[in-house]
Amino acid sequence: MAKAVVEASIPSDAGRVWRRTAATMRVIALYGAILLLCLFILMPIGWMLTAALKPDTAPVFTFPPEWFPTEHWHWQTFKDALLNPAQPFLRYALNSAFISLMAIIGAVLSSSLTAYPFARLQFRGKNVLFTILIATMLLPGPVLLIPQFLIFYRIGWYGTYLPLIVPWFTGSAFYIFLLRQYMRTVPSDLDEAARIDGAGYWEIYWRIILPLTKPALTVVAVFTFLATWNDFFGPLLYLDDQNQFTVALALATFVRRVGTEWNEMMAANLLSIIPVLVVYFLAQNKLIGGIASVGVKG
Amino acid sequence: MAVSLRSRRPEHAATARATTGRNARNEERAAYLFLVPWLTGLVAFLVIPLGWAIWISLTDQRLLVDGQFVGLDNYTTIFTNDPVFNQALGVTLRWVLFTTPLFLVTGMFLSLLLNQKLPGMNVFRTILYIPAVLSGVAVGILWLNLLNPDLGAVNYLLYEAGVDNPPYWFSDPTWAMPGLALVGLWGVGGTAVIYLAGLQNIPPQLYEAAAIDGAGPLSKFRHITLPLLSPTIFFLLLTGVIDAFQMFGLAFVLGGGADGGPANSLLFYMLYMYRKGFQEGMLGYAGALAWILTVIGLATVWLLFKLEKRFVFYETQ
Amino acid sequence: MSSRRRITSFHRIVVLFIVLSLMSVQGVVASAQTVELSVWSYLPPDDPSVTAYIEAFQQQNPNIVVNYTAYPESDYTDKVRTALTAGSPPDIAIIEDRAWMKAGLVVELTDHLAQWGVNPADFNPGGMARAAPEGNIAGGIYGVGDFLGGNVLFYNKALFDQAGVPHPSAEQSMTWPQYADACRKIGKPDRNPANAVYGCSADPAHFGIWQKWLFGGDGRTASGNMNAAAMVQAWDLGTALVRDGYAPTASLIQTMPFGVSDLFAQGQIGVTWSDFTEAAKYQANGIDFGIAPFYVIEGSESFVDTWTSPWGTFRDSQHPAEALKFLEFIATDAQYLRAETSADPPLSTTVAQEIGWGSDDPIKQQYLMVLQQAKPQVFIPPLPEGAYDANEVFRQLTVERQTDSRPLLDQAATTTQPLLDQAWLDWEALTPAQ
Repeated sequence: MAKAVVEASIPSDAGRVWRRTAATMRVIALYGAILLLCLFILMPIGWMLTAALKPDTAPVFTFPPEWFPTEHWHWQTFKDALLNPAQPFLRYALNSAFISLMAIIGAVLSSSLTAYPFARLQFRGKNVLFTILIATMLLPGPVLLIPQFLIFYRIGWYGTYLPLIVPWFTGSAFYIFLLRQYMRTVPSDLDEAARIDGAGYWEIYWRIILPLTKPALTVVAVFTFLATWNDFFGPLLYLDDQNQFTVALALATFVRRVGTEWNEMMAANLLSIIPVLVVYFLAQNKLIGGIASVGVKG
Repeated sequence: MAVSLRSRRPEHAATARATTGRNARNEERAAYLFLVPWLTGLVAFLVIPLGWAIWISLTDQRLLVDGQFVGLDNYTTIFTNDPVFNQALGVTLRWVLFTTPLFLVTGMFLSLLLNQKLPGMNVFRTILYIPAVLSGVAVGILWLNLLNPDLGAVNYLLYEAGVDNPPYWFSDPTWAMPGLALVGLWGVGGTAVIYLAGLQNIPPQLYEAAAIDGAGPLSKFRHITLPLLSPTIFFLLLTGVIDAFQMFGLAFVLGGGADGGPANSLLFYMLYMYRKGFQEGMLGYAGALAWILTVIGLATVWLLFKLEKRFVFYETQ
Repeated sequence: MSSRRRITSFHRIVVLFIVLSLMSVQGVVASAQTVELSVWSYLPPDDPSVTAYIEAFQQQNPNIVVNYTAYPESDYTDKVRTALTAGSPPDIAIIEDRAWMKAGLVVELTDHLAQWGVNPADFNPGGMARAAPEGNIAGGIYGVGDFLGGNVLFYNKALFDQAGVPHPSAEQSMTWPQYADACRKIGKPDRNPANAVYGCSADPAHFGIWQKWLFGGDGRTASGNMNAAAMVQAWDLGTALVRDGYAPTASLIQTMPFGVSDLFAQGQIGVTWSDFTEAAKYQANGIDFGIAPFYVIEGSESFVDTWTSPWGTFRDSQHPAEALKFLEFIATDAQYLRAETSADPPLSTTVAQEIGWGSDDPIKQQYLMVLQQAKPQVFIPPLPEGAYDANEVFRQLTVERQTDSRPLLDQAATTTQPLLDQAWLDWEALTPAQ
């Protein structure tokens, strides 16, 4: 910033020193700002961890607040949160995991099944259906909420996991679009080659396209996992029996309940975050890449 | 799978394309078979509910008691005799108008910061994106405690900084929404990362060329960065507005369930809809509420697309 | 060969769909002999009293199986109401909404009680009042309670002595000025809540704990009561305590699992309120405490709020005969079981005397003595949103730090009176459907 002006007006030797100092100061300022922001992100999580590591006898809220665990390392709190008979988060985590797993299977299968004809096949109505696909991405959800609820209620799926899982088996516009774009980058010679060998469309899909679309499928799987693990509204609507609750629903239900121990609640909260963080760290490049590509292409 | 050498010859590639009658029909049939799950879903979970939604909003449907047709009664009540509706709409609109620009601008500045070519930026980017993958519930529970008026960390810091009476955050109607905005800012890394991708798509030669022409940083920003970033900005604006209208989870946790916070200051539209439909059981009324939100949402999206034509610059233009 | 393979792959997906749809099929096992009695409440399934009742009742009635469902307290009333509206209520439930009684949806029990040889007068009147739509059992009894709940004050003797404040009397309620005065003498405000000692607690709901103060003796007059001088004084004094740090704020209370009760158990507060179930915790923590009746507005008699959770059955319930058996059980055997499995005394004073409840425990005896100050509660029909909201007034006085409660209470009285009038009209219009 000061560089261009400085270059023009100060003689070379002093100029070089000044330039380097200005540049260093700039770097320091930038790093300072970034570090502050990172602290802004990490310190709350650190506070949560500190609170979760406190035994029941220690006050969770201290003055001044403790940002990192120093005194207490009471890992037992996590165990208490998981196995608490009144609110067993282990069970809730297993429930969430089950739903997520089924949803991932459904999403990967159905979205790729739907993307394949749009990417590879010709058929009448293809353009119309594709426009419809795009349109459904923009459809606001709230208006479908109540009739969907009533439908599920009438067919007896209320109080089960079915309303939370089955819709994933019918394809999600966003993923279909993503997969279709990706599939189109797979060279079609491979298709042709297989057809010569007598392969049908299903074979091509199952044995050629699908394996080659793995990176995009991973993105779909990760997104689906995040969406279902964190989903609170669906379980809120459809689940009745406390034993069936998911982690997000359990957290939201118990947070203001009389008798909730805060250290246990923080431990449970952390437990709900850990799987997400693990998946995130493992897949972050693909994840951020996937999101970014949509954002850039609009 | 083994691919025989025979198939590499171009003539076979040409004949393999199904353009003739019987093969075309086979292909079409296969295509529709593949589309069965999606089409089933469309009908079962989209078309039928959409149609039914219109009907429901015109009845007094309750959970287990079928609705009788009441015409536009729901809508008239909503618009003339429901102060809580006005409150919910007000809260939601205020949130959309107040925070969308806030998050957009902050996100952009953050991305500019992250775009510096300094070592370790990837690590910082990873850290700053973390809040975006966490559930609204988890984030809400965390900040509910951080913003506790008496014992929360934030007020402690404010107190130490000399503020005698730090705000009561989620106990005070005036400060509840700003508190929520603060929580939203904590997660602005999500927006920043998308901006970042957009920024990294801008060819650096443009900046170099501009620098040679004597353009300062502000000028570069105005004439290169902004226009080339405009598709990204538009995308974020669109998704941001849609998300803002549907705010639910965070407000549920921070506002004490569907109660809507102190003096209904956090009674977002979706919370109100949930309360009316699933707590009070008035599904017909809630259906009408849903339609009103949908219309408002669609109108906003339409407006944004109009803005897109005027302001967004696509490289192909 | 390839076509056969194609079928198997498709097959797998089809099988997956079938498996999923089968998951929704629920097996129904019905026995002609046994009757399944559905019992709903908000008490957790592992509640010792509930488990004791179910076990004993099933033993006495081998042909009845109890199907117990617990809903979280916040959802419970909605769930029952939904089921009622649909005409399929549970067999037994805790009757929370007295409008159900008034509308004739709940089975009236006076004759049945006579058949069972149970005398209503045996039960604590304060508790029994909850089983009648307007608090008057002469107008019909619609439920049976198993325990006597009472909200009383607990005070920390050591803190009182340290501050040189005389202990509250067990026979006479403190007035607000006396209460606030004691509070200021005992409390040591400190910005750091860990170091602070609180004199007392000021809960928004308790300014009007005896609804007569708010709505008059007939429950129909808000104007003149809600904003009476004594009530204004109470609010002014109480909220000043919170503003000045002698009483804990709502957000502080939220950080503790059991609220002010935790503060008391830690010995950090001079006076708090609770029902008797918390007494054991204080004892375990070594707090030397005494029990006193609730504080009252100036000019009022002493007061203790007593209540119960009445079990009842619905007119539309599926198994009326078995449901009545269950209620008979509650009115008789359950009283003894309750005393054994919980800290509360049974609702039946006769049973309590018979088993000598509390005769071995001076704390319990003190509790019984304080309970003698119980007065009948005044009934108010449910008020719509917009009427008197104690939390809202409290917030304006503590969070917004307003100092004068008179205009706020005047405002509340003005808005509430017409709503109250209308609520009474609606209530009286509730008649059993033909």
